[in-house]
Amino acid sequence: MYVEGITLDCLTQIKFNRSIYGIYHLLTGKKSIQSVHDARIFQLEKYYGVHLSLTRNQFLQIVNVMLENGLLNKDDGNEFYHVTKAGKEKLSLFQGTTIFSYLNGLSFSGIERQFRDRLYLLVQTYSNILVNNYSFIPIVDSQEVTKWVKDFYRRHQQSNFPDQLYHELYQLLSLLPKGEADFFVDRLSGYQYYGLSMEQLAIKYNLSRDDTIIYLTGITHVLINLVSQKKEAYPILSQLIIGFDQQKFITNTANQTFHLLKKQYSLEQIVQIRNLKLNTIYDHIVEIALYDSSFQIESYVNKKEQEEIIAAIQLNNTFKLKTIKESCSSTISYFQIRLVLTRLKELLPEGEIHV
Amino acid sequence: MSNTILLEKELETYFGYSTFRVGQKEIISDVLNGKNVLGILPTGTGKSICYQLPARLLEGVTIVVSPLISLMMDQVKELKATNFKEVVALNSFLDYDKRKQLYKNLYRYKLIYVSPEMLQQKELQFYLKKMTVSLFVIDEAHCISQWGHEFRPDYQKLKTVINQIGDPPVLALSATATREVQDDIINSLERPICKHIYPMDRSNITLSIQEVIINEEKLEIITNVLSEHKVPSLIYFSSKNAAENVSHLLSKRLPEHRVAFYHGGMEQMDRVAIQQQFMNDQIDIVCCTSAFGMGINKNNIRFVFHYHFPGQIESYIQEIGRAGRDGNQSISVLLYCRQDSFLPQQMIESELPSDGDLFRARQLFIKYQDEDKILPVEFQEIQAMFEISEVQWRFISSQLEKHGIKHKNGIKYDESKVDETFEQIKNIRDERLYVKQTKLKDMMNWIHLKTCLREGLYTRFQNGYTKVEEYCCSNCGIHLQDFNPKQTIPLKQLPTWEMKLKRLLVVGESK
Repeated sequence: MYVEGITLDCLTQIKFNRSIYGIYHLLTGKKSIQSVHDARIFQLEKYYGVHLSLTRNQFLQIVNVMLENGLLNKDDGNEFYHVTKAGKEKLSLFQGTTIFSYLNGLSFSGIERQFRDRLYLLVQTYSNILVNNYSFIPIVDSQEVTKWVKDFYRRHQQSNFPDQLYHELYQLLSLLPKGEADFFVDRLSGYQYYGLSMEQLAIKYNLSRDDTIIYLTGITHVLINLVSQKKEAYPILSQLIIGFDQQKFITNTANQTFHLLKKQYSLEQIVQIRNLKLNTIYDHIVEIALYDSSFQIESYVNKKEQEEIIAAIQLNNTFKLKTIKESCSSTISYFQIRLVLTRLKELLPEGEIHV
Repeated sequence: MSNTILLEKELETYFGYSTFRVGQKEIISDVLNGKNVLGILPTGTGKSICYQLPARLLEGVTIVVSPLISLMMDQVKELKATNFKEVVALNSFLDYDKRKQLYKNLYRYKLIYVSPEMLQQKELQFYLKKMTVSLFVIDEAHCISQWGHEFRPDYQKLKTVINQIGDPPVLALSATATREVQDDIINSLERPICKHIYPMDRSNITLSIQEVIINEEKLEIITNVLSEHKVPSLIYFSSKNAAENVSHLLSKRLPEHRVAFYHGGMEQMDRVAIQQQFMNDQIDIVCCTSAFGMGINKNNIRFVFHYHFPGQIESYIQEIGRAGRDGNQSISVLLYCRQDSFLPQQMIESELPSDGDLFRARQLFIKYQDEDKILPVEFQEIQAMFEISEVQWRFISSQLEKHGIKHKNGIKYDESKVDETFEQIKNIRDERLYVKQTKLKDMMNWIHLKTCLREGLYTRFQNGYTKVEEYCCSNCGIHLQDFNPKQTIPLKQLPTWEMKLKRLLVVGESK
């Protein structure tokens, strides 16, 4: 249900502008500028990286089953898919779910796993300490998370701490529908008790494997959102997301370029300093423009050029780079087109473009 | 004698046991006296204590060579859980920086687990040479012998490594080594060795074989037996898919039982969850592949079923050895269907390179030599080039090294010798194939045995065996209706998440 709904939503938005693999890359959170860019221009930010472990074959399998079930149609000659009437109905069903409203991939896909892992190990640790048991097999097997929990424990040894953690979790989970809180708590481990595996959750809650993953992802996103909006109410849980706020760029390397730009180095100088190709630096600049709405693009593409690109987009009714390029004068580069695409929302009146 | 009393005290202090199990004290005493020891102890009787206790008592560091990364990780996890923190596992999964950092701090550890491949690294040897190694342990020592069921070529190079790092006393351990294999181990190490061989037969495990016509019958037998008993049970499969499928079917047919599956393809967290749920009696039945159980120390497993039988008797003994570690009556049921013999046969073929694989490897090597290129180090890249499995590559690679064709960073050979070398590799491959097929045949012959199964199983490993009056084997005749093991009492299921959360985090709410 969820994974189908997401695919239908993506197809509805993207139409024929990208192949089906564009959706796959979006769902698996491919760390390429193209995927982030797609998420932005097609307004599918919420689905970025919501199913990280999905394989290409599994995804094709899902699409094939949707074809068989009449949710999709496919043109004979090409690889493009249409959403059928039944598909539209399924989509609107999905859009009525809480999970749809919870998903916030582009903001949270990078921190979701760590939020959960830290929480799982924290609950397990305090549950054991509560009964003075200091040796147990940790449910999360990651040095990073273990170190974080150890440091945390050193700073919080008060005897009433498990109680506080309980109250915060209680308060937080009470904001969710009962079924979702049940699901989330079933995954928690503690003293001489281990939470359910994803497979066990899938059976218990009658979900497919993929939907189980997206269900958990959605719940995690809403929890992170609730906690970060009201940090003062969650003195413990808000610490689980510390260190993530500043994470503005997806890639470290783009961030380095950004620092050099701020020091007024020219693109050519940055190429020299970083020993990278100019095209790579262009990628970084597009990435920076995507994440930082205050970043000025005028020095790379002037107002007149911007207007020409916008006109080409409207004329052809497309976001396909190649089509836009062919429709512009030859001096306009792909780099400039990509930059303009990052600013579509500002450059175009709301709702003006339907591609 | 005061010495032995002291040992028991140490055991109590570090592991919480008041007495040693059979053989442990004898082996540990010899180890502490600096002797070289070969110890053959049955599975499930605490082989690892034989070096874990000395590791804590001896002055310097103890090195343990272990063939399986997952096994090492489990052991480290368990030791850390008992508050032994100066323990570490070195394996190829560690990235370069982390490894470098670990090497520099090796002196901080008392017990170091390492894979045989890693031990070949000059860099690691360099650091080990600077330390005082007081004990060198070879776990699963049967891997030294090509007649053993899990031959690992790098095990044969251990002697050289031992010499390099100051010739510490050696402790070689195995649970399944025939006399042939024991001799191989001793010869390969080239040093005087005290042998401590203990009988490996487990008289509390009943051996039962049931032949069926179709797989559906297997399911019926398992359902019938387990519907009478709610006890910790394992069911072994040769494939992940079969384990998953039967797990789903069984949970429908046995609604009162809690059934789960386990295999190597699952995510780390789910693997820990299923293992530990089983340990805590949260689940009753695990449908699993051979990946399960290695690190599992559950002492009240009552049934071990084999839905598919393994390709060799040694694996079978290891797997049924997970039953009845508390000494109470337990039952092994091997379900045999004529078609099943194809599965181990396929497995054998997938483990060794085919003629075609060898031909492709040869062509590529010649090409690389001509273009003066360096062979990739990452296995993924090699797999893409040769289209072979990791086991197959390990075989080819070690053979090429042996013939001096492959060096640390590349390939070098005398062109005239290439054909000869590949011919030799083919011969060795055929020899291995023969060994494995013989083992499969042994397994099949045992399954079809008409006389006592216990006698047939154990006498190839040792002189004689303990005779069992009741509950011996299906050929001697058993009456399962009298089998009356202690039933699992399930943990109370709490109806709401609020109560579950309370059980986890509020005093007085946990059990």
